[in-house]
Amino acid sequence: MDFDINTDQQNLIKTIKSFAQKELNNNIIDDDKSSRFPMEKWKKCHKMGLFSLPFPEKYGGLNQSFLTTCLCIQALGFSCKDSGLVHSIVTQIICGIQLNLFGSDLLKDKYLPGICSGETICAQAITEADSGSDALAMKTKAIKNTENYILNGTKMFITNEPIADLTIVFARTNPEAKSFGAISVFILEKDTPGFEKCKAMEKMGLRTLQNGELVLTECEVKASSRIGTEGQGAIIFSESMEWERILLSAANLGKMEHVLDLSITYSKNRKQFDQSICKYQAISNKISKMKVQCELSKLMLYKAAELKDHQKRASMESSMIKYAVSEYLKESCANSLQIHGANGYMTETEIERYFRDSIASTIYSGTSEMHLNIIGKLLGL
Amino acid sequence: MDIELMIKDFVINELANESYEGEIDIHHSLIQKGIIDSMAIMVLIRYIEQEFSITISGTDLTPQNFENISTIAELVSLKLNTHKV
Ligand SMILES: Cc1cc2nc3c(=O)[nH]c(=O)nc-3n(C[C@H](O)[C@H](O)[C@H](O)COP(=O)(O)OP(=O)(O)OC[C@H]3O[C@@H](n4cnc5c(N)ncnc54)[C@H](O)[C@@H]3O)c2cc1C
Repeated sequence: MDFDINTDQQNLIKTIKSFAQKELNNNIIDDDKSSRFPMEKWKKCHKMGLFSLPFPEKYGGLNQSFLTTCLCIQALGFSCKDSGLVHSIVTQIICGIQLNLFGSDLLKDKYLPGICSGETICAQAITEADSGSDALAMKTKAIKNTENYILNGTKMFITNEPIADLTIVFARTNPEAKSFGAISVFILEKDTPGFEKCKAMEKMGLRTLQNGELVLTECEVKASSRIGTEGQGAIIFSESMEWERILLSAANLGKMEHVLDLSITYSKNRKQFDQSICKYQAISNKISKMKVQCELSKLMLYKAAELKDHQKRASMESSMIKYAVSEYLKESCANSLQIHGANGYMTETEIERYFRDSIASTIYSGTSEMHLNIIGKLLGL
Repeated sequence: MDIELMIKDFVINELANESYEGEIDIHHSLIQKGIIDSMAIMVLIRYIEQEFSITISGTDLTPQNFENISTIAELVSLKLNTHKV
């Protein structure tokens, strides 16, 4: 495997970093306080082509490899201080990847151009009140009448849902059968009768990210709006989670690198007992550990992305990278806050927000506990 | 070794829960018996891809292809033949 970053990739990274620093980093403290989604920044991101990176040109995509997409999202995670916005962008790309991998030509022609441009905002609804980690125990039903499916059920915590135009919904098409083979996937437009979204939920971190409930009541969907074959839902879930876990980790790795930089700068400048605090090993060891974690994550991440570029399975690799980066990020943010002392605890330095934002990373897209379970299972334990 | 036999061995030894006591015939539905679930499918695909040096993706990933040992073996044979072409 060759992880040399070529000139084109370096240029893309540079462009994204300078774009994010110039265009995406204003008013974040206020947006965080008011939990406001920065729609004007989202629109700037679609002008930059951020949503279109891995998609074919015929849909308006930039035809970049998944590794390049990960490098770009890592650059965005590093330079965009609004982790909620970055998470929202990653969700959009993942919905597009799911549609591109499993959707019919009809669905791809209809929806991918809007997803690539960012004019159509996307969400993916799997979780329900009684089925989180055990996602496939979902109760939402999609029962076929002659031509169409009738959907009933409620989804929870769905990223982008309050602002989404399109939602990819997982539902049970065969209520009697075991989960595997009983779940199918549908793409629903927000104006479909019986499709009701609720307002965004208040959260501890990632406060600009909009998460909400979706209620489906006798919601009728055409069979042609099904993604993949009937019963393919569990397989689509496993496959698309591999892409999601890798791409979310790219964003979180970028954030970790940013936190590392902040910690280095602060610890060099801050003097106590007549010397920089970085001279105390209690401080420098924390920073050295962050550096080790960043480098380990990079290797795992690029390897996993390359596997997907070669249409290979990355179930073990995606779980390992998701587990490692989310735990490292949480630890790095907590350590960086400690290094910054009282300054770190204050809203203005933004470290406390990064810490709050990082907590969710060990919960969404599979909790850390579940990833250890998956890794164990794949090891034959 | 016979593909069907290799898959049967793997299903019995690695996927079927220790408490699973029934017979596993090559035509029994692994999905209905609860042997293949969302976790087991990952383990199984990983095994097949590594053991036979093939890639299973996109339209091959259907519940029908993983219904029983016989359909899984058919999928593997098909992939091995396409690789040879
Ligand atoms: C910011 C954010 C964004 C999200 N976005 C989306 C989205 O876009 N779409 C969507 O569908 N969902 C989304 N979710 C929901 C997310 O996928 C779930 O929260 C997650 O799957 C965990 O489910 P749960 O919260 O119900 O926890 P539970 O499953 O109830 O778990 C509670 C605790 O028990 C542990 N646990 C559970 N089962 C086991 C086990 N077998 N072994 C060991 N420990 C176990 C868990 O690790 C956890 O610590 C989002 C969540 C967050 C926080």
